[in-house]
Amino acid sequence: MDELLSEFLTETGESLDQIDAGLVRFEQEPNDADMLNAIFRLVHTVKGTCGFLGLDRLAKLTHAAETLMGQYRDGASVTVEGVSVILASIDRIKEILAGIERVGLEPPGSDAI
Amino acid sequence: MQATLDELERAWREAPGPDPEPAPSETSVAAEGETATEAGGRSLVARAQTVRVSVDTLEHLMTTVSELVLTRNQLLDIVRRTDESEFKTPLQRLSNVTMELQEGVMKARMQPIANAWQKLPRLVRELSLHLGKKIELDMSGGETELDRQVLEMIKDPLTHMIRNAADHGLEDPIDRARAGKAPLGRIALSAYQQGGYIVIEVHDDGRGLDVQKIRAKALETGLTTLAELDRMSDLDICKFIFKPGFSTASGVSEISGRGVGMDVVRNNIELIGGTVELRSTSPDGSTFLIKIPLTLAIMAALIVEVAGERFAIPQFSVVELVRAGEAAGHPVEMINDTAVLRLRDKLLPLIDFAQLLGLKATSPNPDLLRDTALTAVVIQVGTNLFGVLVDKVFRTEEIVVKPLSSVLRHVTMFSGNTILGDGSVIMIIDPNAVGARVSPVDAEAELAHATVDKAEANEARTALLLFRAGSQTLKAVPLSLITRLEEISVEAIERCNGGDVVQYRGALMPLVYMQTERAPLPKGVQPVLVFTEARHPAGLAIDEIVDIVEEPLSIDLQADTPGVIGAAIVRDQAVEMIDVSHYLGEIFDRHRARGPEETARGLKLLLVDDSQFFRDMLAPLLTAAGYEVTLAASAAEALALKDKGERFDLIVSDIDMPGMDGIDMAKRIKADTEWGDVPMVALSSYSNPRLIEKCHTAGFESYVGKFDRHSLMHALQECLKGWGEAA
Repeated sequence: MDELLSEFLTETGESLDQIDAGLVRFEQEPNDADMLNAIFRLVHTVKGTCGFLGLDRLAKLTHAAETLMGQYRDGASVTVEGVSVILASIDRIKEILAGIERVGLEPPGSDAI
Repeated sequence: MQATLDELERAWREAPGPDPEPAPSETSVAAEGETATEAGGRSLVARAQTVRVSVDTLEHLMTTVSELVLTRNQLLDIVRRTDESEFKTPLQRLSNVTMELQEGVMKARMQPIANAWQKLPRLVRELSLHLGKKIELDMSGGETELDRQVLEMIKDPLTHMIRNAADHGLEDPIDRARAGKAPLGRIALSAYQQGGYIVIEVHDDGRGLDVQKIRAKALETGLTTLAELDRMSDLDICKFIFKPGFSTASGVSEISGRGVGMDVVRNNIELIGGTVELRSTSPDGSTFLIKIPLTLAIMAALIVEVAGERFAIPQFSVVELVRAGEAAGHPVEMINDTAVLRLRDKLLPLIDFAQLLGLKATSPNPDLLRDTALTAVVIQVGTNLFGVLVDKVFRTEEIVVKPLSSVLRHVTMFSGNTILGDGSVIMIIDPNAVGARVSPVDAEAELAHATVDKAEANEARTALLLFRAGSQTLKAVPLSLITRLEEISVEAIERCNGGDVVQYRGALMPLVYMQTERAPLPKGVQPVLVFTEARHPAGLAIDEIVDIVEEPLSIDLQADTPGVIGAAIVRDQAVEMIDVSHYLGEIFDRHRARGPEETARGLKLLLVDDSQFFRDMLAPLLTAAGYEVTLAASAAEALALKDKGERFDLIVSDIDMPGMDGIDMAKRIKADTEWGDVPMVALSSYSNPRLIEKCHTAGFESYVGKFDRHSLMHALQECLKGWGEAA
């Protein structure tokens, strides 16, 4: 596998674990702007790297998650459903990453919910 | 490239995107490349603090450092022997540096335990939504470091325990309000270092463990007896949750309660040399304590010698050291050609390590085992307890574990090797692999043991005939199965139709020898046990009758050998319980094939008894009498068969069973439309008029003693007759 790609996989995996934990904490303390910013940046980084490597599915998913978080940053109220959706999309991202690890390519499929 | 992150983020927000719900199908991906480069550049900067190193590199470093330590030790040894040496000072410095290096490498392998916790907040969130409970997860001491290998192994058990705490421990909001607790349930996880161990505490402020439920369950599964339970503290009773297959969850929930609970947690933790215990439980909450070693790379091991070679046994699996042999009061006995050690009234399977490893060609002479005082290392793997015979025990030592080279990997007995201070390389024994070679005292046998223990408490005794045949080992058979004991003069034995027969009461009685290769005594008398089946006698020729004893029966080891039901302790001696149907089944089958009594042929019979021993004993007898036998180990199991639509012509059931007893079961069956008219026979070890009366009112047609085979057969036939007339 491409060295760049494998580096990306390890690093993204770590970021995603942090996002997981961070989001849960954020849900409990929706006013913690620093926490939200930190999560936002992580998702953003993942999204950027995906786009750079030409991983379209991942880029779209992360973009969607980021958009939702952007709304929270702008003051939208944090709902359980919203956080669940973001967490679900992160699970999906992990699935796709596992797929890439197996075949070296983004597996085909649709992520529309 | 000069744009700040915030500007970029703003640009992203302003970019056309999907609705808040991530439905990314029509997402715009414009200007991706540009920002990606930027983001990638940023992460490079953030990474400057750490370097990613492959695990292999670290392992290799670790191995090299251990080599260095050994070489240093050898050097120190040499210098110590010479009085004045110019090497002394530089060597001292080398020694210190080596030590620091070792510590450094060890540290490099360490990771904060928080890494193992990372997924838990998410888990708790999901649990909280699913269970409809408000749960807060409080984690402290996450910076405590431990070996990454251990870290991986602790993840699953921890997840399981958090699940348990959320599902079983914490109450739902209504119950919490009723108990005067805050609506928010709290699960606290904390870690700290204590010597060479990491201690992890898992606490929840839920309702605590249900002692009554655990008590009932422990009794039901036969893990203990009422008398024992009464002596135990609540905390001790709660510790039953670590026993295999123990779950008090009334229903299988999606989250936990599949009956593979805490024992799996315990096994996983013990696998890495750790322990898990229940620290406290009360209506205010419960606390579990997990203790795991900091690292698997260094561990305490017992150094032993076997056939001139030294081996290391991991200390965590060693329970005790026992002097085995007649002189030491822990005699070694042979059962089914397997050596067993009797230790405080328990039979432990014994492994001759030298033989297992092929260091000793021949199998051990049992007499030799009896005479010489040997050392047995008692090892515990999970619930499996066994002894390993060794020649010498040296001491406990901290050893550096080295992985097994690939050349030796197929030798499953070892988990690794290590180098001792004197430079010699020795193998580390894998207790799990050795334990797998032991014929296990399986759960079934333990259960039988426990049930019989209960019988003992009730003073139910069984008359046993002890005899010898073939080997020196005592053999036993329940006296009630035997029709008569005879001594037949050897001259009267005739060969007929390929088998030995003897004239007995005006008919020919076939004789079967317990040891096939053994010829009858040339002269004198041959003791014979006479069994009768459907009026046809058959003789079992043995060497000598030893004694008749009345003892509470406890089958300790389940045997794999055909012809032996199991091993038991009778009058402080190990005896083999003989399966009579194995020896005489063929003869009885022959009779049945041409016998007149075919009333039972093909009739479906359900045998309900909680004791494995009685099921094992009665099933062949009933089958031999022509019934098609189905077994059920409890009333619940029998009723489940009913619900499944199974039909039987006859039911034979034990009365005294844990859980639902035979009387309640009979009442349920009589009330059933499908099964209501099936005749039932009650079996019990006691006979008192009140109980018999109770059985009759409950709907049993007949009542017979457990060991009274003839009455049972008779009762069954009476039942069938009555049933036939009624039908």
